[in-house]
Amino acid sequence: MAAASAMAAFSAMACSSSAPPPSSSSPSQVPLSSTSTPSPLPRQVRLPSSNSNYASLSASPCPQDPSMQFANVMWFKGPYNTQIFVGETEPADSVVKRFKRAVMQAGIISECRRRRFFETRQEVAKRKKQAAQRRRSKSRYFSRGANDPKKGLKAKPAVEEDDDDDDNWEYDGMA
Amino acid sequence: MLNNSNKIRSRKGKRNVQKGVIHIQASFNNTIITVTDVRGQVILWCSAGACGFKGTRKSTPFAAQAAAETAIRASIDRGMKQVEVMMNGPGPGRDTALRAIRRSGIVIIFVRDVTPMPYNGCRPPRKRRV
Repeated sequence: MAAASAMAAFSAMACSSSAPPPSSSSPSQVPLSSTSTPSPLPRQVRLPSSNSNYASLSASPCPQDPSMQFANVMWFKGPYNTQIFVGETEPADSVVKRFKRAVMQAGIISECRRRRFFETRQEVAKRKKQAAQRRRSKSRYFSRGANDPKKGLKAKPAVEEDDDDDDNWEYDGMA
Repeated sequence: MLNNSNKIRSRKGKRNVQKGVIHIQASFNNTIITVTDVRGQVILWCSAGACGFKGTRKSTPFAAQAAAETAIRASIDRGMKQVEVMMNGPGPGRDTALRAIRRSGIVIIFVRDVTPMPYNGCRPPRKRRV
Protein backbone atom coordinates (compact mmCIF):
# COMPACT_ATOMS: atom_id res chain seq x y z
CA MET A 1 0.00 0.00 0.00
CA ALA A 2 2.91 2.27 0.75
CA ALA A 3 4.46 1.42 -2.61
CA ALA A 4 1.15 2.04 -4.35
CA SER A 5 0.79 5.41 -2.70
CA ALA A 6 4.38 6.27 -3.58
CA MET A 7 3.78 5.33 -7.21
CA ALA A 8 0.58 7.32 -7.18
CA ALA A 9 2.58 10.27 -5.93
CA PHE A 10 4.87 9.99 -8.93
CA SER A 11 2.05 9.75 -11.42
CA ALA A 12 0.16 12.64 -9.83
CA MET A 13 3.01 15.07 -10.43
CA ALA A 14 1.41 17.94 -12.35
CA CYS A 15 2.78 20.82 -14.44
CA SER A 16 6.44 21.70 -14.80
CA SER A 17 8.94 20.65 -12.23
CA SER A 18 12.64 21.27 -12.25
CA ALA A 19 14.86 18.22 -11.96
CA PRO A 20 17.07 18.11 -8.90
CA PRO A 21 20.64 19.22 -9.62
CA PRO A 22 23.53 16.76 -9.45
CA SER A 23 25.31 18.89 -6.85
CA SER A 24 23.79 21.15 -4.28
CA SER A 25 26.12 24.02 -5.15
CA SER A 26 24.73 24.74 -8.61
CA PRO A 27 20.94 24.86 -8.43
CA SER A 28 20.72 28.06 -10.42
CA GLN A 29 21.79 26.23 -13.56
CA VAL A 30 18.76 23.97 -13.48
CA PRO A 31 16.33 25.07 -16.20
CA LEU A 32 13.00 26.13 -14.80
CA SER A 33 10.94 25.01 -17.72
CA SER A 34 12.38 21.51 -17.90
CA THR A 35 9.73 18.88 -18.23
CA SER A 36 11.95 16.02 -17.16
CA THR A 37 10.37 13.75 -14.60
CA PRO A 38 11.93 14.07 -11.17
CA SER A 39 14.03 11.18 -9.97
CA PRO A 40 12.38 8.99 -7.37
CA LEU A 41 14.90 10.01 -4.70
CA PRO A 42 15.32 13.80 -4.83
CA ARG A 43 17.98 13.71 -2.15
CA GLN A 44 19.69 11.28 0.14
CA VAL A 45 17.45 10.64 3.09
CA ARG A 46 18.84 9.19 6.24
CA LEU A 47 16.42 6.77 7.76
CA PRO A 48 15.95 6.79 11.54
CA SER A 49 18.06 4.22 13.32
CA SER A 50 15.04 2.81 15.18
CA ASN A 51 13.62 1.45 11.92
CA SER A 52 16.43 -1.03 11.41
CA ASN A 53 14.18 -3.05 9.07
CA TYR A 54 14.02 -0.27 6.51
CA ALA A 55 17.73 0.54 6.76
CA SER A 56 18.73 -3.04 6.13
CA LEU A 57 16.28 -3.42 3.27
CA SER A 58 17.49 -0.26 1.57
CA ALA A 59 21.07 -1.55 1.70
CA SER A 60 20.28 -5.09 0.55
CA PRO A 61 20.00 -5.65 -3.20
CA CYS A 62 16.83 -7.76 -3.12
CA PRO A 63 14.20 -6.82 -0.53
CA GLN A 64 12.37 -9.55 1.29
CA ASP A 65 9.03 -7.93 0.80
CA PRO A 66 8.20 -6.24 -2.53
CA SER A 67 6.25 -3.54 -0.74
CA MET A 68 9.41 -2.54 1.15
CA GLN A 69 11.32 -2.00 -2.08
CA PHE A 70 10.54 1.70 -1.99
CA ALA A 71 11.03 2.13 1.75
CA ASN A 72 13.44 4.99 1.05
CA VAL A 73 10.74 6.78 -0.83
CA MET A 74 8.44 6.85 2.17
CA TRP A 75 10.05 10.09 3.20
CA PHE A 76 9.29 11.59 -0.21
CA LYS A 77 7.16 14.63 0.35
CA GLY A 78 4.54 13.82 -2.25
CA PRO A 79 3.28 15.54 -5.36
CA TYR A 80 3.85 19.21 -5.91
CA ASN A 81 2.97 21.77 -8.55
CA THR A 82 6.26 23.59 -8.98
CA GLN A 83 9.62 23.60 -7.35
CA ILE A 84 12.69 25.79 -7.41
CA PHE A 85 16.06 25.04 -5.93
CA VAL A 86 17.59 27.92 -4.02
CA GLY A 87 21.25 28.83 -4.36
CA GLU A 88 23.38 29.53 -1.31
CA THR A 89 24.14 33.13 -2.14
CA GLU A 90 20.97 33.95 -3.99
CA PRO A 91 19.35 37.18 -2.75
CA ALA A 92 15.85 37.10 -1.29
CA ASP A 93 14.34 39.13 -4.11
CA SER A 94 15.73 36.76 -6.71
CA VAL A 95 14.30 33.74 -4.89
CA VAL A 96 10.87 35.33 -4.62
CA LYS A 97 10.93 36.48 -8.23
CA ARG A 98 11.91 33.06 -9.54
CA PHE A 99 9.27 31.35 -7.43
CA LYS A 100 6.59 33.79 -8.54
CA ARG A 101 7.54 33.21 -12.16
CA ALA A 102 7.39 29.43 -11.76
CA VAL A 103 4.00 29.69 -10.07
CA MET A 104 2.71 31.99 -12.81
CA GLN A 105 3.89 29.62 -15.51
CA ALA A 106 2.10 26.76 -13.79
CA GLY A 107 -1.05 28.88 -13.42
CA ILE A 108 -1.66 27.91 -9.80
CA ILE A 109 -3.12 31.15 -8.45
CA SER A 110 -5.56 31.58 -11.32
CA GLU A 111 -6.61 27.96 -11.01
CA CYS A 112 -7.22 28.44 -7.28
CA ARG A 113 -9.33 31.51 -7.91
CA ARG A 114 -11.32 29.69 -10.57
CA ARG A 115 -12.07 26.75 -8.29
CA ARG A 116 -12.98 28.86 -5.28
CA PHE A 117 -16.60 29.17 -6.27
CA PHE A 118 -18.74 27.13 -8.58
CA GLU A 119 -18.93 28.22 -12.21
CA THR A 120 -22.12 27.68 -14.15
CA ARG A 121 -21.98 26.51 -17.73
CA GLN A 122 -22.63 30.05 -18.94
CA GLU A 123 -19.79 31.43 -16.83
CA VAL A 124 -17.41 28.75 -18.08
CA ALA A 125 -18.29 29.55 -21.69
CA LYS A 126 -17.86 33.28 -21.05
CA ARG A 127 -14.44 32.77 -19.45
CA LYS A 128 -13.24 30.56 -22.32
CA LYS A 129 -14.46 33.09 -24.86
CA GLN A 130 -12.60 35.92 -23.08
CA ALA A 131 -9.44 33.83 -22.85
CA ALA A 132 -9.62 33.00 -26.57
CA GLN A 133 -10.07 36.68 -27.43
CA ARG A 134 -7.10 37.63 -25.29
CA ARG A 135 -4.97 34.94 -26.93
CA ARG A 136 -6.02 36.04 -30.42
CA SER A 137 -5.30 39.72 -29.71
CA LYS A 138 -1.90 38.83 -28.24
CA SER A 139 -0.86 36.74 -31.24
CA ARG A 140 -2.14 39.45 -33.58
CA TYR A 141 -0.02 42.03 -31.71
CA PHE A 142 3.13 39.94 -32.00
CA SER A 143 2.77 38.85 -35.60
CA ARG A 144 1.57 42.23 -36.88
CA GLY A 145 4.98 43.26 -38.19
CA ALA A 146 5.36 40.17 -40.41
CA ASN A 147 1.82 39.77 -41.68
CA ASP A 148 0.74 43.37 -41.98
CA PRO A 149 -1.26 43.50 -45.27
CA LYS A 150 -0.26 47.08 -46.08
CA LYS A 151 3.47 46.46 -45.67
CA GLY A 152 3.34 43.16 -47.56
CA LEU A 153 1.98 44.58 -50.87
CA LYS A 154 4.69 47.20 -51.05
CA ALA A 155 7.53 44.85 -50.15
CA LYS A 156 6.84 41.99 -52.56
CA PRO A 157 7.23 43.73 -55.97
CA ALA A 158 10.53 45.30 -54.93
CA VAL A 159 12.01 41.93 -54.08
CA GLU A 160 10.92 40.42 -57.42
CA GLU A 161 12.46 43.27 -59.42
CA ASP A 162 15.81 42.79 -57.69
CA ASP A 163 15.82 39.13 -58.64
CA ASP A 164 15.15 39.92 -62.31
CA ASP A 165 18.08 42.28 -62.47
CA ASP A 166 20.48 39.71 -61.14
CA ASP A 167 19.46 37.06 -63.67
CA ASN A 168 21.97 36.35 -66.36
CA TRP A 169 19.56 34.81 -68.90
CA GLU A 170 20.10 37.51 -71.48
CA TYR A 171 23.68 38.23 -72.40
CA ASP A 172 25.07 40.10 -75.39
CA GLY A 173 21.53 41.33 -76.06
CA MET A 174 20.42 37.85 -77.17
CA ALA A 175 16.94 36.87 -75.93
CA MET B 1 -4.51 5.02 45.87
CA LEU B 2 -1.39 6.51 44.36
CA ASN B 3 -0.09 9.72 45.80
CA ASN B 4 -0.10 12.15 42.89
CA SER B 5 1.96 14.85 44.60
CA ASN B 6 5.22 13.22 43.50
CA LYS B 7 4.04 12.53 39.98
CA ILE B 8 6.74 13.29 37.38
CA ARG B 9 5.29 15.46 34.72
CA SER B 10 6.49 14.38 31.28
CA ARG B 11 7.31 17.75 29.86
CA LYS B 12 7.90 18.05 26.16
CA GLY B 13 11.49 19.26 25.96
CA LYS B 14 12.81 21.47 23.21
CA ARG B 15 13.61 19.28 20.25
CA ASN B 16 16.78 20.29 18.47
CA VAL B 17 16.28 19.57 14.81
CA GLN B 18 18.87 20.75 12.29
CA LYS B 19 16.90 20.13 9.12
CA GLY B 20 13.23 20.77 8.82
CA VAL B 21 10.32 21.77 6.65
CA ILE B 22 8.43 25.05 6.81
CA HIS B 23 4.86 24.81 5.65
CA ILE B 24 3.29 28.14 4.73
CA GLN B 25 -0.46 27.95 4.43
CA ALA B 26 -1.49 31.23 2.82
CA SER B 27 -5.25 31.33 2.70
CA PHE B 28 -7.31 34.36 1.77
CA ASN B 29 -8.00 35.27 5.41
CA ASN B 30 -4.88 34.20 7.27
CA THR B 31 -1.32 32.90 6.98
CA ILE B 32 -0.22 29.95 9.12
CA ILE B 33 3.42 28.93 9.31
CA THR B 34 4.20 25.47 10.68
CA VAL B 35 7.72 24.23 11.23
CA THR B 36 8.09 20.46 11.17
CA ASP B 37 10.88 17.96 10.96
CA VAL B 38 11.61 16.01 7.79
CA ARG B 39 9.02 13.39 8.66
CA GLY B 40 6.28 15.96 9.15
CA GLN B 41 6.04 16.02 12.94
CA VAL B 42 5.26 19.54 14.07
CA ILE B 43 7.88 21.40 16.08
CA LEU B 44 6.23 24.77 16.35
CA TRP B 45 3.76 26.98 14.55
CA CYS B 46 2.88 30.61 14.24
CA SER B 47 0.16 32.50 12.44
CA ALA B 48 -0.88 36.04 11.66
CA GLY B 49 -3.67 35.76 14.22
CA ALA B 50 -1.22 34.54 16.85
CA CYS B 51 0.94 37.61 16.23
CA GLY B 52 -1.85 39.88 17.41
CA PHE B 53 -3.53 40.75 14.12
CA LYS B 54 -7.27 40.40 13.94
CA GLY B 55 -9.87 40.41 11.23
CA THR B 56 -8.92 42.00 7.92
CA ARG B 57 -5.43 42.87 9.17
CA LYS B 58 -4.63 39.15 9.35
CA SER B 59 -4.98 38.84 5.60
CA THR B 60 -2.17 41.26 4.79
CA PRO B 61 1.37 40.55 3.62
CA PHE B 62 2.79 42.40 6.63
CA ALA B 63 1.03 40.06 9.04
CA ALA B 64 2.43 37.07 7.14
CA GLN B 65 5.90 38.58 7.41
CA ALA B 66 5.52 39.02 11.18
CA ALA B 67 4.34 35.43 11.58
CA ALA B 68 7.23 34.12 9.47
CA GLU B 69 9.77 36.11 11.45
CA THR B 70 8.42 34.85 14.76
CA ALA B 71 8.43 31.24 13.57
CA ILE B 72 11.94 31.50 12.12
CA ARG B 73 13.36 33.08 15.27
CA ALA B 74 11.95 30.31 17.42
CA SER B 75 13.15 27.58 15.05
CA ILE B 76 16.68 29.04 14.91
CA ASP B 77 16.69 28.94 18.73
CA ARG B 78 16.02 25.24 18.45
CA GLY B 79 19.02 24.80 16.17
CA MET B 80 17.37 24.75 12.76
CA LYS B 81 19.94 25.21 10.01
CA GLN B 82 18.39 23.96 6.76
CA VAL B 83 14.79 24.13 5.70
CA GLU B 84 12.59 23.18 2.83
CA VAL B 85 9.68 25.46 2.14
CA MET B 86 6.26 24.15 1.16
CA MET B 87 3.84 26.77 -0.01
CA ASN B 88 0.12 26.17 0.17
CA GLY B 89 -2.78 28.31 -0.91
CA PRO B 90 -3.27 31.49 -2.95
CA GLY B 91 -3.27 34.11 -0.21
CA PRO B 92 -1.55 37.47 0.02
CA GLY B 93 1.18 36.31 2.41
CA ARG B 94 3.01 33.98 0.04
CA ASP B 95 5.81 36.21 -1.16
CA THR B 96 6.45 38.21 1.98
CA ALA B 97 6.67 35.09 4.14
CA LEU B 98 9.18 33.55 1.73
CA ARG B 99 11.18 36.77 1.68
CA ALA B 100 11.24 36.88 5.48
CA ILE B 101 12.46 33.29 5.64
CA ARG B 102 15.21 33.99 3.12
CA ARG B 103 16.30 37.19 4.88
CA SER B 104 16.57 35.50 8.27
CA GLY B 105 19.77 33.74 7.23
CA ILE B 106 18.48 30.18 7.38
CA VAL B 107 19.54 27.95 4.48
CA ILE B 108 16.72 27.10 2.12
CA ILE B 109 17.16 23.95 0.06
CA PHE B 110 14.13 24.27 -2.17
CA VAL B 111 10.77 25.99 -2.35
CA ARG B 112 7.81 23.94 -3.45
CA ASP B 113 4.22 24.78 -4.16
CA VAL B 114 1.95 22.05 -2.81
CA THR B 115 -1.41 23.71 -3.29
CA PRO B 116 -3.89 20.86 -3.59
CA MET B 117 -5.55 20.80 -7.00
CA PRO B 118 -8.57 18.59 -7.57
CA TYR B 119 -8.93 16.66 -10.77
CA ASN B 120 -12.46 18.11 -10.97
CA GLY B 121 -13.53 16.64 -7.63
CA CYS B 122 -16.00 18.11 -5.16
CA ARG B 123 -18.37 20.82 -6.25
CA PRO B 124 -17.28 24.17 -4.77
CA PRO B 125 -19.72 26.46 -2.94
CA ARG B 126 -21.90 28.81 -4.95
CA LYS B 127 -20.82 32.27 -6.02
CA ARG B 128 -21.21 35.01 -3.45
CA ARG B 129 -23.71 37.73 -4.24
CA VAL B 130 -22.08 40.67 -2.53
